[in-house]
Amino acid sequence: MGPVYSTRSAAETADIVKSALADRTTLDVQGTGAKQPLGRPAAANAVLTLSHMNGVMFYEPEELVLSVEPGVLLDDIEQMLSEKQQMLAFEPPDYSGLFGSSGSGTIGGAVACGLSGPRRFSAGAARDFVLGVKGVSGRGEAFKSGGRVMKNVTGYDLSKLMTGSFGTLAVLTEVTLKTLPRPPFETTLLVSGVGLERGVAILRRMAQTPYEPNGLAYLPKGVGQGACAAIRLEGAKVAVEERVASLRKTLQGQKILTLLRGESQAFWRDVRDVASLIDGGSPLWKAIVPPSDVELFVQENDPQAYFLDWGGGLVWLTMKEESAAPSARNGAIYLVRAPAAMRATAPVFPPLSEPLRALTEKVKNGFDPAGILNPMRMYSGF
Amino acid sequence: MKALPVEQKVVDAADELRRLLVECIGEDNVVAEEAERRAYESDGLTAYRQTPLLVALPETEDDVCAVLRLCHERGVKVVPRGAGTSLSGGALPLADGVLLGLSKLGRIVDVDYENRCVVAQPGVTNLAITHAVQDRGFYYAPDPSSQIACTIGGNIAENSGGVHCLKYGLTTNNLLGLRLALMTGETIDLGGKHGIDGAYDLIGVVTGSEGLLGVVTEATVRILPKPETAQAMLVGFMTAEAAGECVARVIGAGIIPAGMEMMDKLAIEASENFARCGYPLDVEALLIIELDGPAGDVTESIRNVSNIAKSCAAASVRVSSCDRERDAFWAGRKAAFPATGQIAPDYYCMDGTIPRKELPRVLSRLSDLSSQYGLRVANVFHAGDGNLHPLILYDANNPGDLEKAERFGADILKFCVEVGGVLTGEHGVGVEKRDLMSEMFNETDLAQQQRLKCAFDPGGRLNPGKMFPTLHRCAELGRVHVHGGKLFRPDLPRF
Repeated sequence: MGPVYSTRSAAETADIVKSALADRTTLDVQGTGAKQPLGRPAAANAVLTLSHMNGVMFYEPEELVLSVEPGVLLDDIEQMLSEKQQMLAFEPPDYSGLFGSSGSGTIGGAVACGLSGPRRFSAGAARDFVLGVKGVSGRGEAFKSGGRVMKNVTGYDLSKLMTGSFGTLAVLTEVTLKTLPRPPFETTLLVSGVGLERGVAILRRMAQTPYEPNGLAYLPKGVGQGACAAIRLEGAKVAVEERVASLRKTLQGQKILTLLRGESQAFWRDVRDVASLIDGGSPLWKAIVPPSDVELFVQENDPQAYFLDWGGGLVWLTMKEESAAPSARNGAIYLVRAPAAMRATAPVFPPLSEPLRALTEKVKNGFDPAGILNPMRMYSGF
Repeated sequence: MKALPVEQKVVDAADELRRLLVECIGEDNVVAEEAERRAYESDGLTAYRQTPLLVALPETEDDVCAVLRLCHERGVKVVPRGAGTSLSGGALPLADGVLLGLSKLGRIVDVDYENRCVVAQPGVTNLAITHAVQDRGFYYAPDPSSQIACTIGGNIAENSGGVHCLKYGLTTNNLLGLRLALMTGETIDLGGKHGIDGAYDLIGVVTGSEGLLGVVTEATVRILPKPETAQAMLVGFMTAEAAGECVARVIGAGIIPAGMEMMDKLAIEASENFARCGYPLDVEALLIIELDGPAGDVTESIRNVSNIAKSCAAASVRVSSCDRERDAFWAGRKAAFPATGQIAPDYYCMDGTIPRKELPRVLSRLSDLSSQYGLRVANVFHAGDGNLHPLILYDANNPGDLEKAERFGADILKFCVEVGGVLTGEHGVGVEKRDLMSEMFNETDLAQQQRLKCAFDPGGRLNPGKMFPTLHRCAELGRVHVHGGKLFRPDLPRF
């Protein structure tokens, strides 16, 4: 690893990137480094760290808006929001267990990696909550996009483009997010003793009801609580209790456990953070598939261990053969945890069709023509 | 608005272009007669008109690609169009360009309840998607007021909203996948039934790009189970400030209504006069608050909102007791635009978004501007998400009135930006607000956006003249300015 540069402001960030551009230094852009093991290793000869750029610009709960510098810790944001009974509804995960890192990382990292927790199928993904960004492009130019309001179609939506681009287009210097009220009450029903087929059928049925479940997972035997379908309901206490009663009727004859607030929170935190597949050093994969395909996907790939989230739209899995990669007829597959050597050679992100790859490269060049920001972090070649 | 210079050699070669288009997509799908072309001369922003050079009406994705490839090869500009309901001139034709009408791609390709999605061609209307799935208790959430006519392709181009955005999001939040034809005639698939995935979020970029980046040939949209219950409240206030305070306290209490609309006195009067929907006429501001979801949750929220309204000195509170009454509450709001058309010969609809807390300041500024310009203004406001639609009343037959209304509108939008808001919440920049972009963005911001345009359409042939105040050549934007020989900051602290 080369030298480490630390920035404290957008202006300083622009200076660093401009200088890097001048002498062809390539930068590995980081917050606290909590998500460094995610994606391909960046082929950079210096590190730019944003962890000291950690000011809160403003938080206005009644406007549902939070604006922060990228280095603010996710834990601090969660704390600040929960004091106002609010949350980041995309549930940014904490992969410190998965990667053995020391903390859950920064908001900049969460946005740059574009990771979303169990609520994604109902409330949306990280990209749906980023209202505006400020950043410094690989040209060393500070720019902004979006704003602080909920509804905005002024110009291209670069905020979404930045989300999930792994710092390959620009260094984020400020992100403005939509917050949501934290529901006062939550309950999770665990329908236990069900196999994959039955479990998936339950998730599917729940997704079609108007009871607004916002967590739908399935854990097979041997993983976490095992052989159970999980249904999370949130809202006002009496209303959730009413919905629980209705759902119990539709699930008559099944063995149902009820997890109340603390237990329910812990359950979904584990699902979010992939806690049940942390152990063992096998490569960990993530597949996003149409929920209708999920049974076939599991059968065809015959994983070592797996579980389902997002109503069956997300499969976390490890393979029996360490060198084997899962495949899907439809959907997208990611390599989430693997040794750096494997991440440098295996396709870590879903492969791109030729025209899409060409376009992706042109988009990258438009922001970072010299290829100095997180080179190769997403794709080999740029 | 300054129009782009017309490329005379393209105009002169119109007959040959027509012949080549006919070879590509057949005689029936090419409109060349002037009288017929004139039908496409404007969209929902009727102040601007331009007859297109030729109109192509492809029937298939292959047709779309063939037209784009031909125009790409010959360097001819292309303006895509859905139903032409844009309120910002997004589909305004060019005298030297082909208008690419997508209405014939009007088929719903797949309805998939298991994956909660519909796959539709771009010419399918917004409402047709809901109609296709409502028997099974599903619907498509974004509901722009033109939903009976506007197409999903146009909705994607403009990232259309509606009255339910605060809870259900805009078009961009309800898309799972897109198939996009590029100017070269190549197609790319983004996302799919599994949703938006990996790679750069080009769906996010294309949505709201106003037809400047590509032509959507197929969209996969999310459908939702219809809420178990929906109830609406009609709450009157003696001041706009009190209504604004009520909105803030509802959200502050952790309640996200499905819709929360505000109307000022003039808008209330016009709507009541037009729709006879029972709005109170003795109040200064009216809120329509809709709550939807499981029955128990709605009952609880209605109780809470009623209490908040009372604590904000509401002059009247009514709660709908059945769907018919709820529809009646909405009838006036939904008719607000035509109703305004009845109290003045013409109106000009604005579309800024502001931080909600700035509402009193913005309304007071609007009132000052109204006196200054001598033009009345009626306000309808998506209060939940801060999207303001001032309707400036004028008479196009009075010389200078239109220009006055436009200057008034520009002043409103500049003020929206000044208080931390944006130029457009859901109608788009188009030609209308193109020259105001520099109020919100500096040259670097705009150059960065245009570089994205260059990645998709380096020749700048797709819908040029919209969104950006100045057109730069891609080669010029691509240059990298390096401050020569500067060392890599040896002075910076290293950790």
